[in-house]
Amino acid sequence: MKVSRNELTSLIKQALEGCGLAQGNYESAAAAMVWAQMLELSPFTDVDISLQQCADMRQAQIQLTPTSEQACEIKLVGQVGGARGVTALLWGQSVSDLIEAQMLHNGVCVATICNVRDPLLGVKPMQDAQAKGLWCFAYGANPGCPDIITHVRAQANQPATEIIQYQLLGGDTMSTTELTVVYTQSEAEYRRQLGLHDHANIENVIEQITPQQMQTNYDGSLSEGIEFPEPLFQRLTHLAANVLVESSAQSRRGAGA
Amino acid sequence: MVLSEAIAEQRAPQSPGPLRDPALVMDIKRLGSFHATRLSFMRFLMRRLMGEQWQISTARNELDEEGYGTVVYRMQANGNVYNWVAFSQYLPDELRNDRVIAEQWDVTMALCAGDVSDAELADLRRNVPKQEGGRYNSKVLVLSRGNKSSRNFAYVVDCLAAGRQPDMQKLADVGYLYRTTAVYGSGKFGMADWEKVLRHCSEFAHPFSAEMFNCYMLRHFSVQQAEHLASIKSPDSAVAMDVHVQRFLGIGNATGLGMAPYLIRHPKLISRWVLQREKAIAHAVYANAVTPDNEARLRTLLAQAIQHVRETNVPDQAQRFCNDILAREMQALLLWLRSANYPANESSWAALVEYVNQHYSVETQEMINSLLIELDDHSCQAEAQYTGVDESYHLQPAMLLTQLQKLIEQHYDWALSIDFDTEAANHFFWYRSEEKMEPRLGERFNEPGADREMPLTVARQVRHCYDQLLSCMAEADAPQTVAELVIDVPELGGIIKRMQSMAQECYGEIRANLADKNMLPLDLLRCKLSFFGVGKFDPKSSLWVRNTMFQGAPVAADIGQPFSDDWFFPVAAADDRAA
Repeated sequence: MKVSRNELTSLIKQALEGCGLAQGNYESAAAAMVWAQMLELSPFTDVDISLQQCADMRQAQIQLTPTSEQACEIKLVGQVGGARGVTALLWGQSVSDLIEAQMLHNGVCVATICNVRDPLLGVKPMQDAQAKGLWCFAYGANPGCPDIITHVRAQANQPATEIIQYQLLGGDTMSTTELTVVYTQSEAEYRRQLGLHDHANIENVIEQITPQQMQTNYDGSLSEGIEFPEPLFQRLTHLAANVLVESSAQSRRGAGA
Repeated sequence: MVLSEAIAEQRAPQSPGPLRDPALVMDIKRLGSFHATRLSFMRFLMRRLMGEQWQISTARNELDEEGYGTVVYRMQANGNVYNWVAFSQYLPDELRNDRVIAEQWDVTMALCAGDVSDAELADLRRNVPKQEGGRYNSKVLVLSRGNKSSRNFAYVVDCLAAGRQPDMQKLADVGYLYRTTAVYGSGKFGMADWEKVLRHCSEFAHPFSAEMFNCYMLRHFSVQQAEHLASIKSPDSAVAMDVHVQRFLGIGNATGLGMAPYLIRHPKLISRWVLQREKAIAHAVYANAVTPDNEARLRTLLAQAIQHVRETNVPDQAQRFCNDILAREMQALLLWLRSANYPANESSWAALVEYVNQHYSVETQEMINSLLIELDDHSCQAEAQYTGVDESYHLQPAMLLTQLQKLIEQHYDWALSIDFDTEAANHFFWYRSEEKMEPRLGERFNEPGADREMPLTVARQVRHCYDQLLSCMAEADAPQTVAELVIDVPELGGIIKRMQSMAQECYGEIRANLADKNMLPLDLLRCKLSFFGVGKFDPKSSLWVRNTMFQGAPVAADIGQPFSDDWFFPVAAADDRAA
């Protein structure tokens, strides 16, 4: 089915509110998920399953441990650690905020985030950071394919984020539950960090989504509507009903009747 | 009051005089006293429609002998085409209901981008009469419905059928044939998002333009349907409606609580709207020349406004009282203008405004502001600033908690001054009903549902955040930054982002406790309606209000004729105007 951005955003917000999430979290999560769906990044792949656990997941905690002046480890503890959808829903923006705060203090922040499977978690927050003039990238192994890693790169003053998938060479593999995120304030530091963390070169690029492609996807979704699975729409609608109050003669008086 | 640099920058450069303090302007009672101005969205739409000479034609008219069936109007402008599609059907009197929860209406309608094919029309016919129960695609910009005025419609048809024009004084009581009961846009039910409208439908790339145009087309339809029925009823004697009668007929509107949450959820947008209005007031007061012509024009406007208010016949006692005071104070002001010897003694309108502020009600003060804007041709330039608002909130995660504390104390002192420990301060809660998700107001201590309260009580959230902040800061290993605080207390994230973002804005936060026992939702509705440009407020309770749109505006037949943009405050008989 086709849905509009406003409709989908409102629905997700209400569904997550109905699951008991805090206002700031459900607003950020809804914006990030809808934005990714418009870019055809399929952020809902795991969310469908994850929504069932949402009420438990809201209690999950974030732990930040500095490992050096410019680096830290961020752990999503509690019951989080499963599908990427949950972590994206609940913590994507919060983690990004934390990294940004660290980065503003030190000029650069290299964060290792445990219990997260997919760098797409950070696409929207990184895009927002990019809009503030920051330079950032993130990478992690694809779930189920530890020899394929995905880089997300958001360069200040660029039109959109870029996503590149690489094949790791030489039989190397990476942890599928660890994500590395780097935020910097300057292009020079960004280039330096990229050199330290880049695992590949042009020869082993599997797939690349350019800013232009993302923009095309976004424009198409805006113009024609966002393609969305109807069963999930119905499930979200069901969850959203948790915020509604039963009607009665008394409540109708509260609407002026 | 100390203003941040960002706010001062917004205020200062172009303004020829001081903008009013947000503490004054954003008081809910004052917001509830706003009147339509030259900047109102309906006025803008009519200037655009007349200036660009939008072409409106009938593409399909399949009304039967009882006025039921399908109508498609085609609008063309600047190379773009739109179709307004309406389905008129029989509605028993007992089902005619202004409320959102109604299930059937006299007419349902949709405004679409481009021409509608037969297949698309069939799809619309299946869905539009269901309104919220239907699904729509991104070609549909607006969805709406309306009911006939039981007082006016049959009377007007009978008059035309008998070969005479309806009595203008009778029309002054209810100045419309149809009343809309809901107008949906901005992506509801699968329709086009606002961003798409902004990018691809330039005619409607202004706040609520498409929604306003939909209502304008319903007005057009209402006259055509009345004439059609009159000609069926008495083919030999029926006459067309005189164009001056057509102009005096607007379109009715019933507005309830659904409008209130919008004002709270879009504070950046509201800030922009109010800022443009305040800039226009400042320019009108301090920079618009005081000349004999302007002074004479002000007298004329005052006289017209007085008559318009006196012709506003509403049953609500409080509104009648309010209108009566407004008319009397404007009459007194006419006399004062003579004694003050404008323009000989004054070089700006500041003395007039000061006098009004000292002697008259808030309602009259805001009416005078509206009239002064009317005198000032410069005011229209502010309209261009209505769009382009980035409505997102951005957390400033590195902000120190001590800075956040200062920010709250500086920008939200009004919220901190409210005592939330009393029962009266927590009397109401806002919620969404399962019936069409209609926003409603419940009494917290008497009704179930407070556990599902909508987060609209900004003042209380601010208070809670402030208390939590002080508590966290007092701890031994206290968090230092906002990012750390939000990780520890996630429920504060939303309000902190809002406060950090709104601290950069002049206006935007409505300075009231929306849970308070004495809070009147009507004030919120009227504020928004004034930006739309409606008139003749007719409260039906403290929770919903009827009003009139486009009364006095040019009709389709006027397009292409000279246009003077003076259709506000319409009156039934021009020769009755007070001197």
